[in-house]
Amino acid sequence: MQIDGRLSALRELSQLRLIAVLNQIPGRKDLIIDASLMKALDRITGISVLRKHDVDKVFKLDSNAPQNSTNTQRIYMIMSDLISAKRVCDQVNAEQRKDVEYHLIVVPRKLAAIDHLLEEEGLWGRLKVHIFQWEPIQLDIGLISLELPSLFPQLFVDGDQTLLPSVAKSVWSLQMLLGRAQVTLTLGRYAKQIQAMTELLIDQLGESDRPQSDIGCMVIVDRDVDYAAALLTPATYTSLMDEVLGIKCGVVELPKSDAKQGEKQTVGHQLSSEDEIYNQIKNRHFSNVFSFLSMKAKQLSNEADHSRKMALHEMKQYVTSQLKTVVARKRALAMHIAGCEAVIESIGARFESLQDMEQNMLEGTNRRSVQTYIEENVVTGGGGKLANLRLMCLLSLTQDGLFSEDAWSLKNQFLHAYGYHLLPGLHNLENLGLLSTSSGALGSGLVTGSVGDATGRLANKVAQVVSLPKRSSFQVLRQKLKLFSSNRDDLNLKQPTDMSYVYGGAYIPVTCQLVHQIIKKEISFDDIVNQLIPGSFVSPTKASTDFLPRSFVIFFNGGVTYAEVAAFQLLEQITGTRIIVASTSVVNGSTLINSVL
Amino acid sequence: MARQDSEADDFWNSSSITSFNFDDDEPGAGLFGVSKSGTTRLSQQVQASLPGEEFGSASDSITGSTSTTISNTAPPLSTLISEKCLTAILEADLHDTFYGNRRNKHDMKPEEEIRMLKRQVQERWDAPPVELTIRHMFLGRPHSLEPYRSLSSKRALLDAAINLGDGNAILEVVLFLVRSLKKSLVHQILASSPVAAAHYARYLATRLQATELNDLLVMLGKSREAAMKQYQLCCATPNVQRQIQKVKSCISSHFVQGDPALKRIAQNHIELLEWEQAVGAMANEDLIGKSAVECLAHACRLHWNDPRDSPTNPFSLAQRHGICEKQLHWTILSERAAQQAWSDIDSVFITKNWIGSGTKLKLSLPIEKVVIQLNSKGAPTEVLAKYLGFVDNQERRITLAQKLMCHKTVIDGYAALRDRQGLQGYKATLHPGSEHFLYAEGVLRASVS
Repeated sequence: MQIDGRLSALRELSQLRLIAVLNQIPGRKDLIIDASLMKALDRITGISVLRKHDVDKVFKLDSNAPQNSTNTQRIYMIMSDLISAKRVCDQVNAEQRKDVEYHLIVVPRKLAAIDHLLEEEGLWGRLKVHIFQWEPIQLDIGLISLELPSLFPQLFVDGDQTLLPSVAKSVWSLQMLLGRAQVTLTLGRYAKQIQAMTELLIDQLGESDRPQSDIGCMVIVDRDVDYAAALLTPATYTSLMDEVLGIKCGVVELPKSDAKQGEKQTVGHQLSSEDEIYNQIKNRHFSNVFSFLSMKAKQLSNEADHSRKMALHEMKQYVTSQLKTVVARKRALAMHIAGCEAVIESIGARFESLQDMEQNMLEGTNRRSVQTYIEENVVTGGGGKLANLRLMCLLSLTQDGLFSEDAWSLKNQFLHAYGYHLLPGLHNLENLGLLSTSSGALGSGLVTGSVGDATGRLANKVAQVVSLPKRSSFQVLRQKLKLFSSNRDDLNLKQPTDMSYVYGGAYIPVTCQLVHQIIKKEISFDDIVNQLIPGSFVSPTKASTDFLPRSFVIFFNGGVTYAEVAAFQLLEQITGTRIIVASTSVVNGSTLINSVL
Repeated sequence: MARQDSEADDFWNSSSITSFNFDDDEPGAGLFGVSKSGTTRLSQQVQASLPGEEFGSASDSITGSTSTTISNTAPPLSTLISEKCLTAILEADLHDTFYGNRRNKHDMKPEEEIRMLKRQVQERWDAPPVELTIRHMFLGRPHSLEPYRSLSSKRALLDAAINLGDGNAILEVVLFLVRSLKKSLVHQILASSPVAAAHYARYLATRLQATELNDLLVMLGKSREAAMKQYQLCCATPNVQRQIQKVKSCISSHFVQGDPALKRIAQNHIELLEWEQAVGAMANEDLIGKSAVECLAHACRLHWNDPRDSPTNPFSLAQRHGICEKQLHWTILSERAAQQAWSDIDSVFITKNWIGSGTKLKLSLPIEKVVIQLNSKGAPTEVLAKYLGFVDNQERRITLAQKLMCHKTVIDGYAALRDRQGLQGYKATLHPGSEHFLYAEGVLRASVS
């Protein structure tokens, strides 16, 4: 059984868990769902299954929901956070109905704070609380996600670790399904805690009985280990579509060409490799997508020509066997062309200059022109709020912080352009270490030495004239792990062989590069733990020496980007290994930043 | 393959742009050589041959969205996972519902119930090891914190929660400490444990307990953090008048001693809100929540001629908020151009030389951007030509003028470069007999003699 086939059990497991909860509430009932859960639920179950378990009507959690619900049993389903819980309490208290039995399903776990709230609101016992944690959702081949986007701001900005046990639970159930990982590598402090919790779960709840594990190596990695991979502008089809249109739970909303006034202007399309056209373009560099689509269009129109010349019996055969697939392919084609269109319209004009500037930042060159570029973008409104913040963060990240006067002028311009109320948001980015100010201000590029040190003073004088380049900690890491294309000038974008193609040759994500070097035996687990990544751990330590895994599950805590997914899928191809990417959600630089504003 | 590719290229390049229409195709609007009009054409062709509704239709979706769903042909669960593992996964969350709601107590066998009650009584009085209680919390099993009455056991409990890293357990212990210890002791413990403090701070912020939150953060020495949190809470107030009041008191309690730059921003915020209220009312327009630059744009539109010392005057507004020159210039340019008020733009940006001969541009933005922006607002050729004149480099001026169809500027540019060939080539693209065609001919003739 292929690993992807085995992962298809995840959906059914989630569904069984939901049914188990519903079955605890016998009889007919209405379901009121928090809007933020809808898309994920859609991927887990269907209306027919809910009906089979006596769910009568399904509503979105808003102020009208109580009036529309007619059954005497009512289930609220919310994300486990205090604000949603308060909304439910308010509705229940406002209604004052003795004849209704209330239930509350919290996703993914029960919280002490919610219990306290229920008690305070006088609803303890009146609302019966149930837990529902879904398994990671299989978004496409090789990609599964827990779809908990709130985890990133909660954990990385506020330091609230409430969702870590839920992540551990998923890591555990993945290992129940696929077999216990032979080696686990953790990158980042939260990743280490997740691993410790997973081991506790294995100890307390059980271990897989599969003799042959599908997971050679499990890597758990915190998002903050590699912010650059999220901030850089990606160049593959899916990642650009996510940047421009936003892909939620694997569904992209595309503008509808024939939408009537007052109607929803977009239509959702689930991206899946079962769509043969998508499968061929999903990870392509964007420069190779449109030519492929036009070729497909031409093929299809040739087929149509051919069908017009068919004899009657051929025609009958064609209509019954092929017409349906031809129409489906045309639909897919139309939708991908619309996707291309949206990307070009939104980012086409600035794509090249953006990539140039990002390259400058990665290499630490032309700092002045980068600063000017960002300023002009803020001033002229080019790219929009999030794109501009993203550039500011990338500059700060790659140069160990902004010079204080630069930081000040950029932040001021930003607040003037987009509103003073964003000040706390900028502060959050500072807390993440993404918008910091370098302590040495303009002098930080200079050679430091004691005051009496004549050589030091001389060096400073020289430096003032020629501005000796000093490498930032980002650039040190970039050199150490070789996070760039080996031959950038001759990069093959059509049939890529280098993972950096996902950023047009500019960068290789940290985790992708580490896994690649492990596969190539260039580094060992010990090298990573002892030299390369501070705060990383491997367990069991003994098994990891000389172990050469051929299959990986990479679990991103805090979100993975489609660019990283594409890089891993290329790595799979060129090394003949199997790599499953798992994450708490799929993000890009803009969604990541927006979540902390 | 190569042949197919070139065919495909023909397919969508067949009418590739030779003459350039600025409105439809911005320069560089294409990506990797694919232009917007190229995709639109292909899109129309494919759409035209499709029957009826787009992209498939709704099926079993809860949201009722018309997203296409992939076939669900998963193999039966029993072939994917063993019975034992399946049971373990499905029962992982059941402990809590089982005990927590006490609904199944009656279904218990008597001996089970006795065991459970015995354990409960025991735990009520002798505190079980802290690790065990934290593990119960982590797994959602029943537990009680009551037995932990000594200060040392409370501390140990918190340490165990932090050690495991379960945020819910950490917060539950902190709330227990808050309930059972005096404030100074709670603060003492939180001061030595940043992780616990972070969880409590987020809890207080979510519950809008502003005073407690502030006390906590100030006690921890995080006054900047406290200021930001308060400021964030103020900004979330829907009523403007109350928002102004809140930000004011936030300034006096949090921003006085801190970073003067932050204080300035908060003060500007109040001033802007008051401005928005007053000036919005004049135009019967809701300006609340607009940014300083958006208000500046409003002032450029409706208060351009107000006296310089009036707060509604754009320059005075920009000065009060310290809006940088670039932003001021860009806003004036865009807004006055949208009003077709070209002379206003000239009067701000073009100054006479000190000798009085010739003009100088006083604009802090790249001239190319300025010209393109003027063009996008529908500036006439004379205006464009005037500003093109400030592009120092002739080649760049010619390129830009070509894109903007400022024929005279192009022709003059070639003449200045003495580029006969270039000029002749350009003349060939012009409509024979047109004014510019004749002008180009004239220039060519003059350059011979």
